[in-house]
Amino acid sequence: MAIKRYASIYLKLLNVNIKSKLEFAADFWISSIGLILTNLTSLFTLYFIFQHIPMLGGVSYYDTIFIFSFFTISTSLHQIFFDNIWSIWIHFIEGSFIKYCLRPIDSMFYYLTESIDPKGFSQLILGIALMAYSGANLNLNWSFINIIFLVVLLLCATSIYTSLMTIAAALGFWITDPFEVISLVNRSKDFGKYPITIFNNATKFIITFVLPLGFVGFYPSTFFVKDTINFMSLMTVPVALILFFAQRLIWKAGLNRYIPAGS
Amino acid sequence: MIQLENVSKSFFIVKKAPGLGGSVKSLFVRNKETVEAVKKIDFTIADGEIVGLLGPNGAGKSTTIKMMTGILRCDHGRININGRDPFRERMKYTKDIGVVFGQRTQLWWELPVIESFDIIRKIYDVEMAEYNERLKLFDEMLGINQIIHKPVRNLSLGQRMLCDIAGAFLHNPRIAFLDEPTIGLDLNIKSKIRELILAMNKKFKTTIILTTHDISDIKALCERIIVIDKGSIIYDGNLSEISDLVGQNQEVGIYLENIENNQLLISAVQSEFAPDEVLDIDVREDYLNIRISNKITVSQLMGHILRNENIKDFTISEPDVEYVIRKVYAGELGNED
Amino acid sequence: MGNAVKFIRLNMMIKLSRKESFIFSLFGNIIFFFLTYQLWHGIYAGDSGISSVLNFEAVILKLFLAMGLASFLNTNIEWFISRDILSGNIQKYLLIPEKFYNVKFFETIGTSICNLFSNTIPLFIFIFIKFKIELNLSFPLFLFSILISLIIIYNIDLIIGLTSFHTEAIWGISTIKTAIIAFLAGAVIPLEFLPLGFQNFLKYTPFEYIYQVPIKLLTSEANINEKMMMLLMQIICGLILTALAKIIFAHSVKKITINGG
Repeated sequence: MAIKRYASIYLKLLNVNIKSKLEFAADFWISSIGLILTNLTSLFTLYFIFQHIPMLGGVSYYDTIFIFSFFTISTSLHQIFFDNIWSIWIHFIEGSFIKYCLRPIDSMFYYLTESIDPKGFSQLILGIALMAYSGANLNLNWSFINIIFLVVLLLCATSIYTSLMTIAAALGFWITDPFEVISLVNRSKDFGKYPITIFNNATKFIITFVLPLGFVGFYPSTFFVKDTINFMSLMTVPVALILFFAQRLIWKAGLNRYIPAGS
Repeated sequence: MIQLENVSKSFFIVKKAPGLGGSVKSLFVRNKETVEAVKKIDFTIADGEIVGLLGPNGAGKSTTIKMMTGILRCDHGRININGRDPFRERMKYTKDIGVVFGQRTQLWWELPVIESFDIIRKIYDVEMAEYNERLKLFDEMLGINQIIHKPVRNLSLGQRMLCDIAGAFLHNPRIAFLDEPTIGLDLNIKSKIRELILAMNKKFKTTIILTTHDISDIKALCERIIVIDKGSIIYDGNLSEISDLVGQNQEVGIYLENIENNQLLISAVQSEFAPDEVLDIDVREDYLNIRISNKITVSQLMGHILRNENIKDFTISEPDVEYVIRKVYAGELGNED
Repeated sequence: MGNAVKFIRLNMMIKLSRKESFIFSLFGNIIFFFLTYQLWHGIYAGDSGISSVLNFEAVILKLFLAMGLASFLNTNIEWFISRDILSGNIQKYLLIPEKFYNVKFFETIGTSICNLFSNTIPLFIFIFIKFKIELNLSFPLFLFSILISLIIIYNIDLIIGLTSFHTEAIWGISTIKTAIIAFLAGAVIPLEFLPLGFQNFLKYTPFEYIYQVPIKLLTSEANINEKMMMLLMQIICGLILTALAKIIFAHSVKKITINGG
């Protein structure tokens, strides 16, 4: 079965990739610290601001931290497993992308599984710690059903962000160097870590329907921080599926008309 | 079997005027120009052949290889390899091929070579027994067991190429596409690689498509060569015959005790062999230069001459393949020297 | 001097050669400013007491000035320095008439100028229009001051670049540097929101001289003598760091030429 085959290959790749990356212990610690510090600057901002205001866009302090933690976990998952997206421009420019088309294996799978980024783990742990912290202060009910929903929504949020990044990367089939587009999506993602109630209507519309970054942090979190099940939070799942298929279509289309550099 | 019928491929290139003004203009107007990289080429390669694909840079050689490996789609014509269209049936097609691109590795850069091999085993569904046997063979012929536990990035160029070649043959593909496999390597490694290629070809009837600029590779491996220039095939045939076509043939130099007494020898040779066998006999300062076509062998000639006691020594010069290929590239096919 | 212009132009041409990336870079920055503006607008939306610390306009002014300055000074030259050392490229520089130190500085200037266009100038246009800042005598002082800031941060980058030995490490250290500097420069949150003790502590660090001095030169109500004093302190800081960097650089070069790269 195809899934079994891919799973077996993936587990093997994961295994050896982790082993290979962890050889550089010092690098791992230094870059982990760098990553955590970057997050801490956002966190401190929130902390210091909430010394002066009770609510941000109608959302309390702990709710805001929860949204932030949800966002951090899903983007960390993306970073650990799919960080290779950032290097794709090198392959497009040098024409070496063809190597991913020469084996009987899906080219996107082949490319994305090539390496993992272990420093993302530090950010993941930070996110989990923040979620526990804010969850405790919100008296969230960690029932079995809720945990299932949490996992599903987290995976969907990760998938949405990954799909957006992959679509940006796939533009390289057409424009050769998609680095800035990928960078753009990456910078815009910060829209998803704050309550989107603070944004004006135009921005809210874009974050929800055009570049669905609202579904990476805010919307799925509302499942947990509001008293009633929020409709938008459940929409995370169909959005994830739609984006997944969109990304596959775009990738395939790009591959079909890809003309590698060099004669 | 490989079959290309009437295959063509063109590219668009955007022409930009030089300088800052040109760059600004190009933001508004795109001047597209069509380049015909490959024009209606035809060839068939049977299973088990070793074929050299030659041609000057920019001749359409790489484009042809990319179409044959399923990376590019042809604009016109048909490509049928192993019963499949490489582009349309890429997943199934690539199961039966192995590829080596000399400049870039096909293995996983950060991982130990043996791990790459193991992943390849999983991707191509190679049986464990066959896998181990293949690894043993590679170690016997290439001696790679000492290096396969190192990550690819720590290997020297030669070591990396050996591993890449092994990786390409690991799953016993029906066709191996080798693009510049010996570039930049020392003679020792080159010969190991050539031996492996010949061994795989002999034992498993692997078809080998070799792209190279290395003349010694061609001489050692290829029975047949296809020369592509400016998008078309300008020669498709045996390596030996090509020498005739550019008019370079074997030359035998005969050193006589006394160069003056050559008449007997010359008439002896001319009476035995026809004008299209012995092309000419030239009296040089201290030897006779006899040029023969491929209709007779040097040993036939020598067998006849050696009865003449006047001979002190002789030399044989092979057709210079490099000279020949250069001539072919220069478009001098069919010219007598 | 001719060499300087040559290297600066060369670096700029390289950076600007990809038009698409330049436009995207500009676009990305605009999005980021927009996000920051909206965030703080949301923060100030309620009827909280936050305006007692700083009002909304002051926040935006300080924040955007700091952000514009931070991006102007963000040249990532430490990456290239580190790469030059790791690849042994630095040997090449020891042969040409223009010293490595100077060449990298010119590259820094080139990158900064590009950053100006893709980031700082659009931002500043917005600020100057919205806040109607008078371009009085302080403005030339401001311009001179940011040049000193560039020198200071170049030396810091050089020190960082010389001391990193793996690509991952340089990413980590560079990220730490960017994060710390951005935060302590007041580019993430205006410093007025931080505890008072911490603010006082910061006044004695180089961060004061990289960011706060130029900003204060432009916006504060201090008189011209006080401003000249600030500028003088900044120049002294610049000289100290230049000396420090050159010492470390000489030491590194010695190590490299002995070890062979």
